[in-house]
Amino acid sequence: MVVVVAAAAVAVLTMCGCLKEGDESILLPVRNSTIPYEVLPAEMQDSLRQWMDINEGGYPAKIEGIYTVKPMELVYASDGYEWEDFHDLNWRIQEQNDRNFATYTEWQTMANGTGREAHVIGDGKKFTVWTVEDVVNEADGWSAELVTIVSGKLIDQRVTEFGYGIVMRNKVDEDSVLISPDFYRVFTDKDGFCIRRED
Amino acid sequence: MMVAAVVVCHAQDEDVEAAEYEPRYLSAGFRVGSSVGDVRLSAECYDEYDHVWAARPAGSVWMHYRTPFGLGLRPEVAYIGRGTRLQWADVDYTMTVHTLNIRLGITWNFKLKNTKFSPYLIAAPSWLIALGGKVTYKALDVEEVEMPLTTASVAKQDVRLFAGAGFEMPIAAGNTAVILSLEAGYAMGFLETFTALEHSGELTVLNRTLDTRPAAGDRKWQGIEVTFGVGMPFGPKIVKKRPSLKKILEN
Repeated sequence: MVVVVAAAAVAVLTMCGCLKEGDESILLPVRNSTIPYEVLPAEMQDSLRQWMDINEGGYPAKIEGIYTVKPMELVYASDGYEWEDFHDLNWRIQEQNDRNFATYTEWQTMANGTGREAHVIGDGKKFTVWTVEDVVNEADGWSAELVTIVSGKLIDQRVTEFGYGIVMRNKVDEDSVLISPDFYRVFTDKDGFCIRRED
Repeated sequence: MMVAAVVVCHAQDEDVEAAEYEPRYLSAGFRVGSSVGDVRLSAECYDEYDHVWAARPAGSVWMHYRTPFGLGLRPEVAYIGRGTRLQWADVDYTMTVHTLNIRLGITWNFKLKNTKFSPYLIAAPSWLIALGGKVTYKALDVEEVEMPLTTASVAKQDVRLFAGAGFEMPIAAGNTAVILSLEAGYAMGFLETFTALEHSGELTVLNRTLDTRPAAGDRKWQGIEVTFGVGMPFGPKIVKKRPSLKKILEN
């Protein structure tokens, strides 16, 4: 009995140091029902809500498809920007799965947009898509981190109550060609809805 | 002299019988088998996940001290593989932990008449040390990740209670006996196995996406163990009270 206990003690003391020190882990994703505050602070979301809907909830409708915003209209620019003539915007949602992860692509004149990770939140027909994009323009010497928010209500093949918001989070922009961080612009479809073209 | 001869012969018969069927105070041996385990996650945000119980090997060395009235003590040093698999939509998460268990089992053996077969119950508080392991993670938005477990991703220690039942069957082997046994039971962990770093999120997240969050609630282990054991008795025999000489000579 003494020998067994002693052997156990030696084994324990030897094994105690086996688990290595580290600073990495793999965390479980969870269902989003709001735009996380680390993506967009609460004050920013409250400010955006004056100009567009941010529909919350964990169970939005499936909104896969290509949508066209035509004509695109500026609703509000927090930096005072004014303009009227915008190119039509196309946006696409693909691979929306049960945890509301999807791929979001947008393009205007040329269909060369790159799909990026996006998340869909909402309740029933009302939805909000949010995504974070890192944009680099080496030719013009700037890079930026943008949050894009697209919201609306899907009824048949149309999205009504449509809103499209861009928020600047961070940028490297020596020539100051971009809006400053924490400023945003909100657009809508002048017709009041955007059409779903195809899945 | 004839009476003495009868007594000696009777005693010798009892010795053979005791060596084959009567337990001794002490026995020692090993167990091998399987542990089928999972985790209990207390936070509601993890309710979406489907749990797949994962089977891993288990083995131990033990000693058993028995008392004449059925109660026994069984200290044990065990290797138990723990694991879980969590799935949700495109997310596939698998964790394997290698653990060293130090157990102190309290047993109760039932002696059945006219049979060597002996069922028993066991309850064993355990102290568990994580030795290592790994996590694999797959999802649409993340390249498959495999990560060795470290102090950042699993708690070093746990306290568990194992409760189970089994049966023993001594088999005569020469002048001694080999005790075969089969045991099954449930083990429940009591300590939190998420780390403080996982709760705070202040660490490198290898699968970081826009919907990964710091760990919420508790993560505790549970599992079923089924093992087959082999043991050898040794030490003094647990001998029944011998009848008096007067009783031997009575008609």
